[in-house]
Parts: sequence; C-alpha cells; structure tokens
Amino acid sequence: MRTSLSRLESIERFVSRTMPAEESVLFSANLLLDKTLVIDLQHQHEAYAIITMYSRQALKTELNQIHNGLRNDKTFWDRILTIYEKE
Amino acid sequence: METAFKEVPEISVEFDRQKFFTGLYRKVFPSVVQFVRRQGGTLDDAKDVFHDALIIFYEKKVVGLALHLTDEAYVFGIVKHRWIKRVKESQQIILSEEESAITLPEDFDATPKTQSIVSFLRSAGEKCMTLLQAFYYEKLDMESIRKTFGFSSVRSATVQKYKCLEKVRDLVKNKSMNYEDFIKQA
Repeated sequence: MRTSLSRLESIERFVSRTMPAEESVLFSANLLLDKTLVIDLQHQHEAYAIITMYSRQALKTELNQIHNGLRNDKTFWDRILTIYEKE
Repeated sequence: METAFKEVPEISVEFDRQKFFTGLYRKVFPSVVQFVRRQGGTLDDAKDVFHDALIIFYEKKVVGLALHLTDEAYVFGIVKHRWIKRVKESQQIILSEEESAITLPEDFDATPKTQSIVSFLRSAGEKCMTLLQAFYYEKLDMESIRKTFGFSSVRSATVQKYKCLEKVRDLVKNKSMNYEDFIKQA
C-alpha cells in the first residue's frame, strides 16, 4: 500500500482503537510533535462524518421509493388518507 | 459526533432492508400520520419525520444496540423526539419513561459544508461511496465486501476502500482550504 494510504490506515486503527497499545502510545506522541498529523486526523474524522451523511441520504432515497410504492397500494393509502382527513 | 466503527453487527449482507422498512411502514406510519396531524403537521411532515426515525432506528440496529421497546414503539418514540426538535416545543407532547430514554445522534442533520460535499459526491462518486457506505455505515466485514463488489482478495478490497476514503478526505481538505482562503480574503 502506498505511503498516503498507510497513513490513512494508521489513523483509522488509532481512532477505532484497534491499534496495539505500544503503537498507540507512539502515535499519541507523534500527534504532539506533528501538526500535519493532527490536521489529517481531523480531516479523516470529517470524512467519516461525510460517509455517514451520504449513507443517510442514500437511505432517504430508498425510503422515498418505498413511500411512492405504498401510495400505489390503494387499501393502505386510503387508510392513510382517512386517518389524515379524520384528525 | 458518533464515530463510524464496527461493533457487533445485527445487519448482515443477506439482510433485506426493503422488506424491513416496508414492514415498519405498514405498521407504524398510520400512527405517525395521526400523531403529526394532531400536532398540526401535514402528510409531508409525517413522511419526513418518519423517514428520519427509520434511519436513526436502522443505525441502532446496525450496531446491534439492545432496545428496551418493541421495534414499532421505538420508531414511534424517535418520531416524537424528532417532532419536538422540529417544532422546538415539547410541552404538548408527553414522552413515556422509555421514550425519554431514547437517544438520537447529535450529528443527524447535515451542516451546509457537509451537505455541499455530500451533494457533490452523490453526482460524482457513487461507486466509491457505495463501498464506503457498506463498510463504515452498514458495518459489513471486508470478506462480505469482497464478495459483494467482486474483488479478487480482501487485500485488494481494503486498498480500494482506503483509496476511496482518501478521495473523501481530500475533498474535505480542499473544502477547508477554500474556506480558509475565503476567510483570509474577507
């Protein structure tokens, strides 16, 4: 794996706490010395947040498809409209 | 912010998500419509808040969180929480003790910066994002990902995963740089 990917892998093992204790101590020490590592760590955290947000929006697309499918189920949708109009 | 790392997965590669969501839709959505209507909301409001609740519930299922209510009651509890957040007033909505114990992710709603990157990725990086979603969001193991995406080995799937993660990280980095440049110029 090329160096930049190995760095991503190391950061991931550190934040997911799958790094062996000795390596983790060394990584923590490097965080104090290497400002670029701190910035990379921060960006990687943001990347994970982006993946989560992307995934949620992908699920919303799936849910909209299910919703539209159920609108074609007359019995179910009539029940929904009855509830909505009754309230 | 909740991190996206693997715990005990309850959702496997064979899991039929559409069936799962459709089942909950049929069982819970009528009650959600009734609740939202009584609160003065529309059918679209009911749909939005229900979709949010299903996604939050799904995330809890993925990490195998033990739930103290039935699936239906839990989803309805999340709906109430999301509605309270939406209308910013809770005095008219009564939460049971079990519903009060439900926690929601603090980072559920996208920030403008996150949203702009996500919108870009939805149009430009679907293949990579599907792989990243499978690992970090669906919590599938690398062997399942190798099979699903047709990689020759777990190693090559892992390398591809990091290449994709690097793309997202670089986008975040570039967005930060642009933002800093913008601040400097202001």
